[in-house]
Amino acid sequence: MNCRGFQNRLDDYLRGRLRGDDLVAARAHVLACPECREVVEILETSAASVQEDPPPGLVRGILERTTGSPCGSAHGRLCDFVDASLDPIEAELVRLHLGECGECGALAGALARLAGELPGLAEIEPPADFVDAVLARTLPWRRRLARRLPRLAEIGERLAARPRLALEGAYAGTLVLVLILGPSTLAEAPEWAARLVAPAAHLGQPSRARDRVASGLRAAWGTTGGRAAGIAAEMQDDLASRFERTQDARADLRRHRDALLEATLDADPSGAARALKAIGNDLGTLSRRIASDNSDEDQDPGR
Amino acid sequence: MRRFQARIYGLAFHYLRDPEESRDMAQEIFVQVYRKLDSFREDENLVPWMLRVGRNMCIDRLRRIKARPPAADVVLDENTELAADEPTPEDAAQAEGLKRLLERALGAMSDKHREVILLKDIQGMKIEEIADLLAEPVGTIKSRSNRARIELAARVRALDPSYGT
Repeated sequence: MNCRGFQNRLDDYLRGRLRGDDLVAARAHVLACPECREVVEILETSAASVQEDPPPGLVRGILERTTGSPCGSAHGRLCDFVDASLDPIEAELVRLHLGECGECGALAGALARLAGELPGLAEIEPPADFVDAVLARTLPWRRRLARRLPRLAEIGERLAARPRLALEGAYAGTLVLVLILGPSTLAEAPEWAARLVAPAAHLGQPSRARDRVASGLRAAWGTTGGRAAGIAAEMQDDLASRFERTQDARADLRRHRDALLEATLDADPSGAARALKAIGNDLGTLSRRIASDNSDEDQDPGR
Repeated sequence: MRRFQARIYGLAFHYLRDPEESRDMAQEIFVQVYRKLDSFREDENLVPWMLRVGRNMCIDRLRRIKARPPAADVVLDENTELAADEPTPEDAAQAEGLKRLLERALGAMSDKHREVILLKDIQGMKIEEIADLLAEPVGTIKSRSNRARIELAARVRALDPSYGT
């Protein structure tokens, strides 16, 4: 039996509760170890007073001889002592030390009080609008957008009320027409008009000129309209086939659009930047697939 | 969310130690929790899981702003109130004084000691849960917790010698 094992059984030894091999080993250790023998002698001579009124310096002496500095040893066990998770002998030694060391006693008191008061710091009331702010950020983006629609509508109305809107609309409409019909078709229109009007003007017959203009316009419209319809039909067929090739890229684009909206509504600039970059890539893929005549070319570049 | 808002805000506040930052962080944590709910396992305890998510986000935020909590300048907003059930004015004043005392002592501690106090003694996580969260052995966390508690008690007593007597 070593010193630690003996100290663990010290209380049983002093109370005569050891039997058999344990008793033999304890006695052998007391005979062999002068320090433990001294502890036993001190405790046996003052056995009656140990429980209630130890002599001054007794516990300090025991701790110094067994486990080093009593305050250091007590500090090492103080938390377990306060948590009542120390074994009984060590708890008794710590209790005795606390009884005679005011600073360690106050520290133990502070630890016990902290154990009761620290959990009270766990909850701090956030500002009153906290829940609404979180709920607003966890709604699906369509609902969040719906909440902002009145504001967007207000911006739209303000834009629509600008005096130059009609001019800008006309400009945009012209651009669309040129894109659909092509510049060459529109370029011929003034010549048709001149051809229609010139003969009638020379003849000085306004009514005939009016009829010719009307029939000419009908013919021009038939030509232009027919050409436009042909172009539109061709474009529609071509676009439909190209559109089919962009299915997966469009799915990516929708996903990244949602991410961009989420990040924008969350005021998350880094997330928005990532989403924008992804959208840029998606648009690149889309444009390549739309521009490409070969449907396999873009889908499998390695081939 | 109303049930946990004060707790999550408290966690963020103890890490970031700034009311505005804490408010934003707590919102982020709830949004993240909402988005990560699919990964929450039925057999897990919700509170430690939320605290784990929150703690990791707070640490990320701290890393981003490249500043740990200030060592001594503990700024408590006047509007920052500990959750309480209708305290009397005397109780409120006493609680406010106690709160400031504890916050000052906590603010003076090392980051590691303050964190283990925050997670174990304030938020009530188990030693094993903290060890798992911080990826450190249970024994290390246990001894760090004991040292941190002793340090905190000593610091509180240095600020108020009557504390614990």
